[in-house]
Amino acid sequence: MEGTPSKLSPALIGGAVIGVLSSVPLISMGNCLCCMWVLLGGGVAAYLYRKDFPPDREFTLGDGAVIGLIAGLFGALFTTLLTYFFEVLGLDPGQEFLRSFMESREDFPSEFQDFVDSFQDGGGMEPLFVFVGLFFSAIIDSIFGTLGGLLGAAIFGKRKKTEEIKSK
Amino acid sequence: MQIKIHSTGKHPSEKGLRYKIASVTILFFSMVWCGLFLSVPFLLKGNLTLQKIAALIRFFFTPICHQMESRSFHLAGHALPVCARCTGIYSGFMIGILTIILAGRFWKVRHPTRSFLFFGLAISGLEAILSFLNVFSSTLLTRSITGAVLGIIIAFFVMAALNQIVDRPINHEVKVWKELPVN
Repeated sequence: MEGTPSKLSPALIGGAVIGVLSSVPLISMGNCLCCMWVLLGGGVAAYLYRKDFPPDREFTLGDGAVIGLIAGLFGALFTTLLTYFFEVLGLDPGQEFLRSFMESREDFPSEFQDFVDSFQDGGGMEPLFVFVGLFFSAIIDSIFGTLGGLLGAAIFGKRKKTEEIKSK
Repeated sequence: MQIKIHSTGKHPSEKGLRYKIASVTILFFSMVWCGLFLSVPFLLKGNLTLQKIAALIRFFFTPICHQMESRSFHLAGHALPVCARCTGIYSGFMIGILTIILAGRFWKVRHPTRSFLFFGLAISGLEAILSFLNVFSSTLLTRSITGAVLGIIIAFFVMAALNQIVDRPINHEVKVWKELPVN
């Protein structure tokens, strides 16, 4: 849209916040609280985007939602790449995550358990698993990133004065 | 060479149609979302393929909820893949969207105030903190109700955002050569 700042850098920064916080072992557990880090990343993107907004333009919830969505998609990519990176380093956040997931469940079919076992035996970096992880992350991060951006816009967004709206 | 086309408004009927399509789409996806987690206990009762699907759905929700059985509703003898608070938030969101659509006031949801949002966050947060401090003993019901309140409030913000996105002026650039007839 004319007169609006670039979305790229706030979305990238927001995506990086999501990626780092969602992939570092232990810290990533924060996402169990309603996807806290993804909401935060979307909110950060909205805040940064709003900062560059021209003073005569209203920063709407819609603007926040759009920038949050883009940040969420970047976040999904960063999360997958960083998780892969941590696995290469031997920190294995993915395996830890799967282990805790399976330990808490007894009502799963044994085939699913076999799949997890194969992952824990070193199959975790298989392209299929990375792809499935990226796909799930893209869905979740885009939804919650949008929500984070929207809530960020609601909290940080500037609003035109009542007189200004009435005069229109 | 480029031509800039800027239209500041749309025909009201076109707006109305876009609103309806967008709002019904959001409602559809929120119903799919709720259907996903509500279906898990029933899928686990089915054959192996259905059980695998249930496992995948539960796996899908793992990064966004702690999934503690003691804090989750049970259906058909199995725990839902999301906790009671998340169940409340998602169900509240869906009910909020549905209510706004059925009330026919979607286009009026423009600027929900931020205090409205803080109220929703505070009521859910306060319940969690008081429970943590043993001041108040929270139950599945209180968690889901406070979550539902937050979900309904978020639905208002989502609809307002959707309203603003759909309401935006059309502004795009068209290259002249593309607009010229081929012959």
